[in-house]
Amino acid sequence: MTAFDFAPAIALLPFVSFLVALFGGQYLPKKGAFAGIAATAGSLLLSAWVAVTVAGGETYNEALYTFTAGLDTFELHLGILIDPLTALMLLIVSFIALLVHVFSLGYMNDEGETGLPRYYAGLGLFTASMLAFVFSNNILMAFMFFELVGLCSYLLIGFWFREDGPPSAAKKAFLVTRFGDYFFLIGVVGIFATFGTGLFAPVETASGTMASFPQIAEQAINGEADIFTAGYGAQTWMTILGLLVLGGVIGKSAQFPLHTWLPDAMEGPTPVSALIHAATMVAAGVYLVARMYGFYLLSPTALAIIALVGGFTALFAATMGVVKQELKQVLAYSTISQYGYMMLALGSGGYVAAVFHLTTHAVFKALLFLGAGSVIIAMHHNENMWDMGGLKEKMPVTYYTFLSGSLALAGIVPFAGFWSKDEVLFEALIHGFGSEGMLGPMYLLAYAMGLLAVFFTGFYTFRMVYLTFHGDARSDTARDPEPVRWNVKGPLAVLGVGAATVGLINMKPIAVLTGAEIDFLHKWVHGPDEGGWPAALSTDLVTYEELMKGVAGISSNYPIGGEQGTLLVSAALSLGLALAGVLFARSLYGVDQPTEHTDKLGGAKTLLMHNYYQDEYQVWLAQGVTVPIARAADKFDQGVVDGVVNGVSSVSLFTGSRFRRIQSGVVSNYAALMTLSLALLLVVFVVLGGGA
Amino acid sequence: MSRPELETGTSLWPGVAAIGLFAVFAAVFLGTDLSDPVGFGENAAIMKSIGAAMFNIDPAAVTSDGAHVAGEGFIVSFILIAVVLDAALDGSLMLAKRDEEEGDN
Amino acid sequence: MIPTEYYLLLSAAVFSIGVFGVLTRRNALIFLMSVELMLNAANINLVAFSFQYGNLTGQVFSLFIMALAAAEVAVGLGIILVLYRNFTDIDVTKATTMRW
Repeated sequence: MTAFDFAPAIALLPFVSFLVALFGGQYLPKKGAFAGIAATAGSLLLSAWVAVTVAGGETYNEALYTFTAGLDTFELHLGILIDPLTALMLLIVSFIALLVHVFSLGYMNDEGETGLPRYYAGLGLFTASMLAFVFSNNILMAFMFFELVGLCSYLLIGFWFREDGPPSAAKKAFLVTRFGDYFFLIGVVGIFATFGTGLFAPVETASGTMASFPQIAEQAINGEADIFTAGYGAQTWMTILGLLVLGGVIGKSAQFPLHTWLPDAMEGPTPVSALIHAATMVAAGVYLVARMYGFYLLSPTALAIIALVGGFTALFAATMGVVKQELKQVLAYSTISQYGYMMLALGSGGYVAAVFHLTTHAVFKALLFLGAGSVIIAMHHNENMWDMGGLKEKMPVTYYTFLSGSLALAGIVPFAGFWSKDEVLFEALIHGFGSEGMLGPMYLLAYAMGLLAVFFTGFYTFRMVYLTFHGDARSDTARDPEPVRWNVKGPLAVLGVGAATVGLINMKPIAVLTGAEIDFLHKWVHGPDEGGWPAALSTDLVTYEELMKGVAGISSNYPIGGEQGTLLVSAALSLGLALAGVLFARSLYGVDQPTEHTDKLGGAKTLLMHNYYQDEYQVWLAQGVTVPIARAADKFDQGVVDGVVNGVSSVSLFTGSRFRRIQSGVVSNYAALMTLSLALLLVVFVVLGGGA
Repeated sequence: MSRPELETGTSLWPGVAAIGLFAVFAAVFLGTDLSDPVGFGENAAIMKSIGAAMFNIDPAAVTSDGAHVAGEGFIVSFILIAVVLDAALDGSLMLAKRDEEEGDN
Repeated sequence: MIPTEYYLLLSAAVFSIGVFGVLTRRNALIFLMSVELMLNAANINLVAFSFQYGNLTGQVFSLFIMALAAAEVAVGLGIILVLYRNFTDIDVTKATTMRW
């Protein structure tokens, strides 16, 4: 009776709450909220039990339901893989989902929203799909649930579908992520065709061990295995497959250029933004790369691209967040930027840093979104920060928790964001100096962009805090905000404590400086040194580090005074820039009556307000490029394909219409035809000599 | 007084088919090689033999002095033709009469 | 004796005249007369071959054909009556409703 026997229930419980809310929600007092809360609490308890079991060194990787068992070919199945990464992510997702469900009682039920059964059903289905995605054991199952969470995102963004904004935003989110998922699907097919399996980690079956595709890929690169590579070299083909899957990752995690859907997704209810577009669904892309890390490490090109995209997105989004006027928009661009950091970490070989930042970001971004939700309730759904101000005295719980989240986001010690962001940048720096070939300069470039983004992050975060909470109230609603209840303050308080303390799980700088063994997360994904789950699953840090050095050519170099020196310099740089950003924001906006200083940017402000015209560009791509192509394809289909079919039938129709004129109705014609035929027949008989 | 005239009001072109048919017939018939006709012999009582054949009577019983000609029995055909003639008579009467009645209504 | 081929030729000529009549005449009664001609051409043919092979069957059969021709004319005249009822004309080229 191990925890793993109950692992499917982690995803099935929220699925049951989905069904309850969908079919019975209208009869329940809170329209399905308590079913959702109970289900996510159950999932959280089960995830905790699973995590405790994993901490004891056990892991799990089984196929549970086989769609098709191929003969001499791959099989398609649903299975569960639980290793330390999975256990961590399950905890994060179920925890945030539980808090969001509790918060929804205050945000949706207490505000008298209608259509709530649909809302809780959407939340339940989303939670179930996300949890199932997290414990998928093969890439096809991951793809299925990837799409399902995208669907739930669409349903929930468009929750208030009777207005103009939400349905349009929902469509945009779905289409942009779907565009990326198209490449992901091709990548999945490619992986199955190349390796004959989509498993992330090897599975022990009765008839031997089924290898996972990262393992087979590594063997192919070393020349030990023979696989289909479409005529390219093995490593080039791995790069191609990795980049195809990356298409889906970029779409889902809102990286450049498929980031345009996330700010528009803020049309959905704030708890949805907190759960889906901050902590969990956008994490799916990053989680997928981390899950397949053994595969990505085989291709330095793919890693460089990931790092550059991440670094660029971090800077790009941070600049846009500087001029935004609505509270949730600033947070949306902040999300895009922070996921850029995670991609930067993954690309530059900082696996632990990426997972750490994923964890801390989930906590503090959910906190910030829920805090924004509390402010929005108070301001009667007015999101414009220029109408707020002075809320600090009137909403103390919200203020202090929001401040905790903002300090974490900006990366101020000792809040969580400092430790994780600093580790991301540190790993990028040392791998930038140490890696071979072009990889090093690429990493340093990405590092520079990420470092510059730290300044902007500090700036826009505290601009947001000062405009919202400090100074004088700038409108009547701000002078007299609506009070919020325990179901709003409770989750905020929990997450506020979390944002301050979750950094403790991996305080690497202190561990390195003092030699204390407190880098718990590092140990968590490292596993035991010999045997245990790393030998069974090959998804541990040691395997990844070997691949990094051996295949990708990434190694560390500490240019400034050894490891400790470089560490201190890097930490000082990032902390210094963050503080500079915070103080700059304070000087501009920390006054009683701040002005719109962004007007001084002039033309740059217009560019940033219009999001570098990326939205217009994508609309042009759709209308100006795709529509003509679609029209041409349609003409081809109707003209050539349908034309051939119609042509064949028209021959028959034409012949028929001509032939029927023989039936003229005049008897003499018939007799004439008969006579002619008789004469001809006789001639034929005579010629052929039939009969005497 | 009207005398027979070739009708030229209609198109006569279909008649070419008839002429063509005759040409084919003539070519075939004139080209065949038939042996000499056997004939029936001197003093053959053909009519009496035909009558006997109709009723399946032995022709020798009807003719005198062996001038009979043997033939097959046609009694069944005879009866059938009688029936057909009767049916045709009734049919034509029916066609003529019934339509008259309906025409009046 | 006259060679049998000439009897066959006569039969063919009478038959062709009948066919000519069927193809070109418009009056339904003349049409029927032409059909009679064709039947009689067959009779000539049968009798000629009866003499050729010394077999009475040909002649007996031609008697039956004559009876049959009579029956057929009876029915045919009934049909022409009906034709007249429906089209008020016994021109065979006028009755063309069963067409495409």
